Amino acid sequence: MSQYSGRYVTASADITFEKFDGEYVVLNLATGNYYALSPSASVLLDGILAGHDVAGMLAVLGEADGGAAAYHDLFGKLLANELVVADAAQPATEPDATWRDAARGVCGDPTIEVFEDLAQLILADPIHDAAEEAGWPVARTGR
Amino acid sequence: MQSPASVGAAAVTLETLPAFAAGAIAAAASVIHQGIPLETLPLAGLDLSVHGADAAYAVASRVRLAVRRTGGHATSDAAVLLVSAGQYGFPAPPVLTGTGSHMRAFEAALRDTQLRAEYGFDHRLWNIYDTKKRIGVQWTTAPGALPPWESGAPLRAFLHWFHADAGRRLVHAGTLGLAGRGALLVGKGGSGKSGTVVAGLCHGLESVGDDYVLVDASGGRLRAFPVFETLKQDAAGLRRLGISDAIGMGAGPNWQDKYEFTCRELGKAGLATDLDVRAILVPRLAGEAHATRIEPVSRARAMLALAPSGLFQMPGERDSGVAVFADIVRALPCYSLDLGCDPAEVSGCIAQFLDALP
Repeated sequence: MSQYSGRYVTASADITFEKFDGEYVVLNLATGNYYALSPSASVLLDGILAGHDVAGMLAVLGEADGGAAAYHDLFGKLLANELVVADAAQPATEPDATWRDAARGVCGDPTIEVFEDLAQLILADPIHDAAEEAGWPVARTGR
Repeated sequence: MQSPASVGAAAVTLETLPAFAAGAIAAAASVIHQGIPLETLPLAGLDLSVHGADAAYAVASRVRLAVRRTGGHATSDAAVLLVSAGQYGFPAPPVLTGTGSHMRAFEAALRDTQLRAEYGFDHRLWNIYDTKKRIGVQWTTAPGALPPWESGAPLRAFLHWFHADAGRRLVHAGTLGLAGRGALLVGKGGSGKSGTVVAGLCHGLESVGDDYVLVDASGGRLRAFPVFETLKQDAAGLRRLGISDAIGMGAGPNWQDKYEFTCRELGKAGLATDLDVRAILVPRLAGEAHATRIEPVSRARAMLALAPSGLFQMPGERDSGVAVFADIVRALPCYSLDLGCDPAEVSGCIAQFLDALP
């Protein structure tokens, strides 16, 4: 049985996302981190945004070979990166037929790429340095 | 009328930021309305009047901003006062305190107002803009006491706020075009945007900029316009492109250890007035042995290359920016651009690609 269950929502208004041809790009406007979800990972985020029960979704996605561990790991990363949080205020819905069809059609590993290279730009740190890679000021390290 | 001295609190907090910003704008307006113009800059989509006593900054801005040759209108669209401590009754700019370390909190303090602002801790610099009055103030401790990146991209915060309010966007991208049709080159610093743009200019292609350009998606077309005249390359890039002698390196590199120059120093007429954008290219340095390749890439990859640096390098307007950048990506075919090492070969490959665009 999944350690995760119930309804989850995006963690705050700072979490923004756009979907392109089945792949989500997620930006955390508070941290400056951004993320790329593979098509199979994006199916899970689709279900979260629809308010589906996470345990139910993980059960469906776990029917594929290796799916259970991979999707548990993915959901853990969504939590660890503070992209989603539990929503106790609203009941979860059971995964509907449309989502189930999409979930059974996924292929490829459910992965999330994490990009932290611009995170310093969002910090209004009192001291800044110039960084050629970033192109603009970034927070000075070692202070 | 606001007295400039009355906005001179010693410190500003997030709680006092809206009132402070409104007071600074009122004080700037009172100075501007006295009629102290330095320059009226006819820019793409914006006739900007610059006021104040810092003539050197105004001259530098005219050189670095992409000023249209046709001249501006009699009245400006927006006005910015350049002011330093002791000028026009303005005291020393106050210190921002108690922000924690988060820019989003700073932006949130102004979210429900018509005001935009950024604060530079190192230089105690305030840039403040009123989107309704279209008046801004750049308030420094002394003339020229500005961050090192300001010289290559003067007044960028004000341009960003003005255009975002008008539904346009400063986009972190290089551009190359042929016969008026072009592509955005997107990617973070070091991905090869600037070098590719300069190579293209040296081999017959057009551009409206190598770092930040103005994109207007109104009217069913996606067009790009120049914002800054500045092109940049490090010493190795200049040598690789064979232009070290042409641009001269006597002035020394900028804060990024890059040399700033313009099209005219390359013997070109200047940047194009605009480009009809038909594609997105995501450049990548492929290595010595590779010929340049252009292949389809996913829109998600293009979004990753386009949006984050543009969102996080500019002050505010981040929530609206995500949707704007997503619309740009959805509107255009997206390609990876694996760069070879021969500037002529790279430019030839891109020229063929641009020529074949519908």
